[in-house]
Amino acid sequence: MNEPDLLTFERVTAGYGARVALEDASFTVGAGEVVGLIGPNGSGKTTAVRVASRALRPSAGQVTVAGRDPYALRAREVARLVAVVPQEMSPALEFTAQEVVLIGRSPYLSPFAGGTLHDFRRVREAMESAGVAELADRPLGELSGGEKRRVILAQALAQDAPVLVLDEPTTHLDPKHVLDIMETVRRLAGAGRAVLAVFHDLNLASATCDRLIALRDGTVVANGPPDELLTSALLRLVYGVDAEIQVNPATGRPAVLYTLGDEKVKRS
Amino acid sequence: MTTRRGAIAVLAVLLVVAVLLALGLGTVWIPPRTILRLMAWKAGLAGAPADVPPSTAVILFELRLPRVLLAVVVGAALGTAGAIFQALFRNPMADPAILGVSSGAALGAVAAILLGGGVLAGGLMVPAAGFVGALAVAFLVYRLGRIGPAVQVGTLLLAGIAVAAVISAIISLVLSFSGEQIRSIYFWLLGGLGGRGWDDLTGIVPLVVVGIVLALVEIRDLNAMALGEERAAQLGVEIERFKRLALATGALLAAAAVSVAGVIGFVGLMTPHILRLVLGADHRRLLPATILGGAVFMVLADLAARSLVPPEEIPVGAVTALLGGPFFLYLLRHERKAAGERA
Repeated sequence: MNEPDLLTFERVTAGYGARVALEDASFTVGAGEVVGLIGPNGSGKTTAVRVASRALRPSAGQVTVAGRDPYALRAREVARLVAVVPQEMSPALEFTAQEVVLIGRSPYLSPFAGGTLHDFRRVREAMESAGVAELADRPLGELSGGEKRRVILAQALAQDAPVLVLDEPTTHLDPKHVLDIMETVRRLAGAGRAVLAVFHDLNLASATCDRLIALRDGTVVANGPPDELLTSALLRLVYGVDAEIQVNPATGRPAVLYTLGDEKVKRS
Repeated sequence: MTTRRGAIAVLAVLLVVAVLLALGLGTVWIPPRTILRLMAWKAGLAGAPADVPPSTAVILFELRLPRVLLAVVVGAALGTAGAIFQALFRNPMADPAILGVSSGAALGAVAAILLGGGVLAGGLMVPAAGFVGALAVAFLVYRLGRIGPAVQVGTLLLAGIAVAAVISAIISLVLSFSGEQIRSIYFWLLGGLGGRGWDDLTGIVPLVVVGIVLALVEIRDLNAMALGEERAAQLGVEIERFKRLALATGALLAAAAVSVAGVIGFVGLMTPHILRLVLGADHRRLLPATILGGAVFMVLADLAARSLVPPEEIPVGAVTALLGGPFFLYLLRHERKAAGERA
């Protein structure tokens, strides 16, 4: 491994009360890598995100972010190391896009939140990266769903954290916006960040990620590049679905073709 | 953006105008020019104005000025407390009076006065006891309103209203049994600035200054809290500690206001809400604007309270409730419509 592992899970077990949601999970995400977490609902994907972002302390095992234990640091220090792009965010509709992104600078701001020239420069750069620079003065309430998502992405980028964690960042978006966001994410990884992203859409995961981690019932069942990991057998094991894998001729990446139950007869 | 920055300046000018108006109006009209000349004289910048009768100076400096300044301080405190509670509960209908925090402060203050604490600790005993009452109610209502990970808006408001009603009843009972007059019960439950003087002002100014400084220090985290607790934590806010600090700040400001003015509702509700519509929700602007706006609102409401039916005085809480009640109902309807559209 040439790249340092910016995010590591070592035999991590975590859960809510008596319920174990993630068990004995070990994996790493290196600098420059986009790693996708896949698995059915309740398989532990969001739990992994929460563990990585200091929101859920593991009951066993060790998580490190940029070589440090987030649970031994203050929230502010962790926010400089890991930026989360949440699935949903409270609609802060009366803030302008720029104000929302400036809140992403919170880990660096003084308590009065004034913001230095450096903060505002980073805000502008983050907004440019996410393609929302021209929306700066628009209230969030006036933006479309896709624009809002990109503003939230910009907010996470403004945190200047080496590790970026995305929890289903593209749900409810149309393909154009989805691809825009994924291109931005890959560019960020290219610039040396480590990206861990939760996916429901396997084709999107395949198209975006360098490596995939498949979870089932809280345990890691497979970990590898999309072309090795995405097989009919694995999808049956993890999701219990019938699917055929073909190769996208344009990219060489695997593409998942689903087969519905009532059409299985025709096939055979 | 320039209009948004200009709003602070506009509010500052409005405050000066409102103060001059409130100082001038009354049984004797004192024109702004005379007010300024008298102030210059008091400040040692000019000689005594020969054409102004001494009684005018007495009215200005002994009756009106302390009362108007008290309105400024009480309004600033209530507005700021409202802004903090609204951000903390992520609910535009939170306000120290609606949440019952002001009633808690009133009960604390009444208890301290009846137990003879009015003169203890240099007069600070009343606000201190008020602070304890306000803090207790703030935490109680917060606990009651919280179901699972989120504060439920409806539950929170109902909890606050129920707690406020119970406490108001206790205050009435305590005051009745202690032989206090109906008038003083009125005072605590509906609020007023009548009969207050310089001592009351100097008593609460330090508390309000501390509260406002704390509020300004909370700006960054209040903004992050607007995005939800989980997101705020991801952005580096130590959630539990911050919530305790912000609740205590709101309680301190409400207690300081209540200890001299009784329970005055709706200032903390309306001021931040209206200013948010104009300025947006960013507390870097909203909080300073609310400090000024609360003061303007309170000065004008108190002016109305003492001038609408002279020589009688309406409790100022009745004036703010007359303005704020309909506003609250409108908000409630608006919120429910918005919630319906989201669902």
